[in-house]
Amino acid sequence: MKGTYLGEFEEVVLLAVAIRSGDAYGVAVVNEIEQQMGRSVSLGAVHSALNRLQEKGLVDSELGGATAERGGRRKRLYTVTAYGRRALEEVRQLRNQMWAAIPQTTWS
Amino acid sequence: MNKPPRPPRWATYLLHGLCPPRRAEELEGDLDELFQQRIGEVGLHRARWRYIRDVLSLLRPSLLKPHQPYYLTYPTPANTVMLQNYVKIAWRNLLKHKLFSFINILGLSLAIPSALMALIQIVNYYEYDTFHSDSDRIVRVITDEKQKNGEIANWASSPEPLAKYLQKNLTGIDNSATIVRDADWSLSNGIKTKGIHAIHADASFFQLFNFPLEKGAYTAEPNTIVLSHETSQWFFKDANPIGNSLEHPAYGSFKIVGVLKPFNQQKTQFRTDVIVPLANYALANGKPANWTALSAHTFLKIAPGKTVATLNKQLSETSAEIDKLIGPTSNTKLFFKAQPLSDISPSKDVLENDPYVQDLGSIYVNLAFQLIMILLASLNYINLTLARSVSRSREVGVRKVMGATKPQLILQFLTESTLISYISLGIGLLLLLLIKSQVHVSWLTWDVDHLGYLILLFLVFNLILGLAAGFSPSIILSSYQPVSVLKRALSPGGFGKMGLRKSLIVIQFSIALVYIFFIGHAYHQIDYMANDNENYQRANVYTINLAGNLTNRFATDVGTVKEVQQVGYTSLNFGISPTRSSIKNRKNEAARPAFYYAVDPAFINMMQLKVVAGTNLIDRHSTLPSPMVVVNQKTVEDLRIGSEREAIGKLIVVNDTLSATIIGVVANFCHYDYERKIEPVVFQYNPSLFKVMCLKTSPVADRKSLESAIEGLWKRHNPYLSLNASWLDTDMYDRYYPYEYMQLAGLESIVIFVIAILGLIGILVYSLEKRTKEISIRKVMGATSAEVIQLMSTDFVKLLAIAAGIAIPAGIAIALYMNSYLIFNNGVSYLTMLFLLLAVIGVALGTVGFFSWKAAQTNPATTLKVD
Repeated sequence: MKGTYLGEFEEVVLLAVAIRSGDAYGVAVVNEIEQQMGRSVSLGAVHSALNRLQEKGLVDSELGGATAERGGRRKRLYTVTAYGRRALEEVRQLRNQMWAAIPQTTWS
Repeated sequence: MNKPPRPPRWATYLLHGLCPPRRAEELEGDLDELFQQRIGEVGLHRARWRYIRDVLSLLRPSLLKPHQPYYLTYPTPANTVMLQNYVKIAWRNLLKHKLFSFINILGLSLAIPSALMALIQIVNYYEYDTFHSDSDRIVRVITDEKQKNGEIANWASSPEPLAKYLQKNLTGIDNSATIVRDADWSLSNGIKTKGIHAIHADASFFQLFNFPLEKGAYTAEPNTIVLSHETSQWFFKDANPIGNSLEHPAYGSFKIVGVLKPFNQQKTQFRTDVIVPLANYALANGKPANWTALSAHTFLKIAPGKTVATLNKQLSETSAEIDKLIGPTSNTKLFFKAQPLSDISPSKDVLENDPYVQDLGSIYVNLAFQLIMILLASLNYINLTLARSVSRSREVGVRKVMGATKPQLILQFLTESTLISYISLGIGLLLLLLIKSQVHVSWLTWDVDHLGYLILLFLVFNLILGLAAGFSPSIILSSYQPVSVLKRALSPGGFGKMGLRKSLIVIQFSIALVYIFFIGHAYHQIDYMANDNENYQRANVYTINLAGNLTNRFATDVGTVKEVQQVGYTSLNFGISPTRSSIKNRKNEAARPAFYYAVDPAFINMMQLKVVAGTNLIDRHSTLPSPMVVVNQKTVEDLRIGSEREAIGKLIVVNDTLSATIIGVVANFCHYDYERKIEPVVFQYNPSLFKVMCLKTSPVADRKSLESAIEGLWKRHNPYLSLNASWLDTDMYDRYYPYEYMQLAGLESIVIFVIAILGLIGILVYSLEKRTKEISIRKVMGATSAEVIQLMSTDFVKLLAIAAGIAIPAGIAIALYMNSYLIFNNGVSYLTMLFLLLAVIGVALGTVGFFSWKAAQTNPATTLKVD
């Protein structure tokens, strides 16, 4: 299994999956990221990140039902695993910790 | 309503082609959804661009892997991991030494296509005549002829009556067919004449062999004919030829009853333009089928379940009876054997009279010839790998210290060479496709039934190539002792003897030069044959096929055209297989073969034949044949009638019937094939046989306008016949200049040359790198750039000189050998050779000079700084 280090883009994708939970498939994640971050991302980057996240066990996936809007093609729906949630929390905690460590005088 | 806009389809195909199918569905769904969404946001044009970008971004290794669960459930065995590592390290090594990898791959991939073409041909030889039904039951009867002196001749052919006799007298034979080939036919539809390969076949030939008809029926009656699709096209274009007739100069008119469907002539031994009934062969010969001439090919279809062995037994029993039929007058005994259809091509032994069938020996000699190029490219690999062994020796030392065994290291180096060979195979296949689309050579076939075999053959071939090229470097490199290597005890010169590398360069350049000389000489001869005006005058001669319409009024009219200087007639142009006849001194002597032309004096004049004794023919302005002939020197010699002067006035008998007086002797000249030996030629004035009108014109710049002027005159006199005319020089040029073949040969010689240069560059770069420090020190000590260049290139100049010294005599020897087959040749062109030599050596020296110059430009300060 690959290392469990969470890259910046992976973190963003993982967050997007969490935001769209229940309906998190490729396009939804792309839209979410584009909307939130205001920059365009390629589908390949997102899918490859989702793939890596799955290999690390941070997300789980299953094929959804067929819908008419996609010409009968099924979606792959991703959900954040418990392990994934913990990884996100760890990152957040780490950030918080580092924010807290900035001396008050730095920006004053 | 409009259809919804669609994303670029090729991008979707690309995705489907490369993605694992289970993933493709979701990805395409995502792509499509995004596309539709983006049309609304940014417009159709940009949405399409984004779509393409997304597809390309999806084509990354991690997404192209097979689906994950499969990947996780089956753990990869340790072995494949090891092999993967070999490939990975090999790949990294390729990337690390980009220049050397480039040289190796480029060289090999240039060399590979020709070997692949040879392989395709070989596969094709094994697939001859596989398209006939029940082909496993068809056998050919071949003949061993034991001559009086005990020598045995192996013939593929057999006596003509054999098939019928065997079918009548042997049991277990379902059907039989006899064919007699005749490659020397010509047919004419009154306007056009064509040299033809004919097969005489009986009706059962079409039952045994599968040549379906496009239209009409098979031949049954004498003097009917079935045309191949191509022949029908040549004579009649798309018009229906059934019911028309074609004329053979000797055997009369043949009525067309059928046209065959197109078939690949390269895949059968029954290559032919037309099929005529076997009965016509007997008619043409004027005597009943005889047992002594082995002129026919006999095919039998044996009953199901009967083996070839039992048939062979039956045949050996009948041989004795047939010997009785032949009679005691013949000095030979015949033994018959059965040969299954599938064993005919490629033949294991060389058989006499076995057209279009290659024997194994010559096939592999041909392949070996193609392999020379591969060999040269592999030499590059060996040479460069050994040269770089210094940098690799550390690696070997470290790996050995870490516990690598010798076989493991050997495997590593072999993986590298094999990887290079497969990358080259990929590029080589692309080149092959390019050649296939650009070069059309009739003797090359690209159709192979068993494509799978071919691909397997390619893969195995390249595996062997990789192993062979990697063999000696891997052995040498893996034998290093870690202690001495890591202590740097081995000096750079100690790795792979420099002598070996030098001799490899010499070998490469010698072979390249010899091959280029060979092509140059072939070109020299072909150019001579295509543009020759020495044997007879070709330039500015316009030939018109009279098609039996010899009218004086047309001739008079044409004579008034200002550019036309002379009007002559002949029965046949030079350059085409001429009419055979015979000559002798007296009525009751044995006749000697000779060629016969019916011409008028103007024709001999405009062909500029040299009259060495006597005079030209005499113009009689009459329609009656003249009893006076002009002959060539060879006739005088063959008939032993003294010197050319003495021959004048002598009476000879031409074609058994005509008593003629020699009034002139012309010098021997080549009137059709350059490789045929000189034979007697007789010219007679005989207007009834004139078929072609020749116009000698002044050298005109605008041939088109002259052509149309003459065509206008022709139209006035022959309103219902289209003009069939051409220029003799362009006709002969087309006949003798095999453009496609020269193109291919030229390509090959360029490839060999490039490979040699690549090898040279490799060694140059390497040896200059080794001497960087020396160069710098010399420069510091005051050497000028010129001196450095001279010093660096002397070695290579010597090598090139040696290569030239080997190649020049070899090239001359090859040229002389080739000329020994051509009675009329253009000699050895030392000028062409000199030019080619200068070109090759010039480029090589240029390369040496350039790299030496580059090495001499280095700043000593930077190179010496590190020490």
